[in-house]
Amino acid sequence: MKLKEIFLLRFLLLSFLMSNHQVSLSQKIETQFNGFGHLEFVLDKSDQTNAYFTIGEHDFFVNSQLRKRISFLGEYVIRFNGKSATSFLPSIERSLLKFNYYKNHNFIIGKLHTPVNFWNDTYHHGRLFFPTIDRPLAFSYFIPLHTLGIQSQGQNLGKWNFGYDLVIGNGINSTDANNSGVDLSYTAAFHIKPIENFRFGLSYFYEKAKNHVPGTHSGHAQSYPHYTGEDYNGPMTLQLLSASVSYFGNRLEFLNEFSNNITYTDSLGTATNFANFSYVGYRIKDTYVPYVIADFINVADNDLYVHPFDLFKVSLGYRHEISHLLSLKFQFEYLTSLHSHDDHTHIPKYGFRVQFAYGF
Amino acid sequence: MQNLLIAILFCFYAVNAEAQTNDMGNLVVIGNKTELKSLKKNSLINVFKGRLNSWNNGTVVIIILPSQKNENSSEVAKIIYGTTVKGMQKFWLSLVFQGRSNPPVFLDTDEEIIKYVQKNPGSIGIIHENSDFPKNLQIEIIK
Repeated sequence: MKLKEIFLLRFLLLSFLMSNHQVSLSQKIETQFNGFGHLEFVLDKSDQTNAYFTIGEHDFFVNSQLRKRISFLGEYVIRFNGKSATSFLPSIERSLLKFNYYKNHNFIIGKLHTPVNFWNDTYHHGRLFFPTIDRPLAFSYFIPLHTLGIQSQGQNLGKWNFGYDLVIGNGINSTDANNSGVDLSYTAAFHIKPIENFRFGLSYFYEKAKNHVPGTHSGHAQSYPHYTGEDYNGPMTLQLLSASVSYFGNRLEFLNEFSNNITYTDSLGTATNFANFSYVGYRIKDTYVPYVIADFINVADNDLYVHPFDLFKVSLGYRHEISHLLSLKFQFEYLTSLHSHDDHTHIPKYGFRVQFAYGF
Repeated sequence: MQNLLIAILFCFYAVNAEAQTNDMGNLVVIGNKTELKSLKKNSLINVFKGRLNSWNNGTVVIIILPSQKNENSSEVAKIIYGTTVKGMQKFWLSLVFQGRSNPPVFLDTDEEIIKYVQKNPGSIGIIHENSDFPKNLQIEIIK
């Protein structure tokens, strides 16, 4: 080897070692771990009375700054699952890499909460942040909770704090590990925050599934308790239009989530389903928040996704925010069905629930 | 009558002078390589509420906040977030959990905040005006 080549090789090697050394000195990875969990007491009365304590979801959250503009976010939940020998199973709820490529614009890849509405985009699995004890009814039926895919996101743009979320990901048929066929889902969501603590958002979700699997998206496949017949597994087109209005001020708190779910099957045609969740709370002395909820869901007679039913729930609750890491909630609730054709064996139902939600 | 007029004018001046101030109480804002000499109060609130990812020069924004142990924490929570220290902490816990922003750095003393800002380009923090800090770090807050 010529002397010149040896010198060049040594120079390149030295440069590489020096650059690596600089990286190791300047790149300090900032990682934050948090945990969230909740415990509950439930008393309900319908055609029978039940009273029990229950361990809720336990949520492990990690946020790590890998590079100045690249971060990782993970949310791992352990929850009850009757199929497990220990009664509990873990699941990956969010696991994503975020690249902040320009000012307030990000590119995200991974498993995320589909940004269809305020609730799904804000509270995730942290009961500590929930203003109430549980999610709106529609979340157990036709809200596509998760998407594994790619997302383009912009936030706090311009005078009105405009934000957008565009997502392409796996469809409802997929597991988080594989999929047969090409059934992608598409989400477009937009919101504005023209005044402090106020947010208005609209979204559209579309998916054309070759073989429908009952459930609320990847990782949450399930049959619905109100339906005892055979599940439909044929082709289906799903659409979801959502509108969210929220205001969480120093005193008044308000949230309305409207969802219009449209399904299409060759056999029964177009079915139009609706859900609306309203929450109003009033904060007293920064800590005490009495609140009311009205929650309604209606699924059309020709729907093969959720299957026909309706449910109406009203609740009166009280939230005591003991610290930023601990809250205690009490909730009285009444559930009823407006139509008699449904297969609800435990409706109407009165309930009383107490929840300790904590973070650490 | 003349005294009354002077008193009214003085009051008006005092009120106006108060209105001209930045409403930052005893606090001052310091930053490193933010390329800012001054900042409007509303813009400062936007920065400290995690609504800005990077400065105009491309440097990533790093927010430094007083921890609960820091004696300025209540004043910062009130002036910037319009809430209590508990409210400020919950605001950030929620924002980071949503994946909307990187977590801020909470520090116990003004000395720690000053050192951190000096070492980290793009960082911005709030300290007491009587703290001993290099004046070239100060960002003037205007109405």
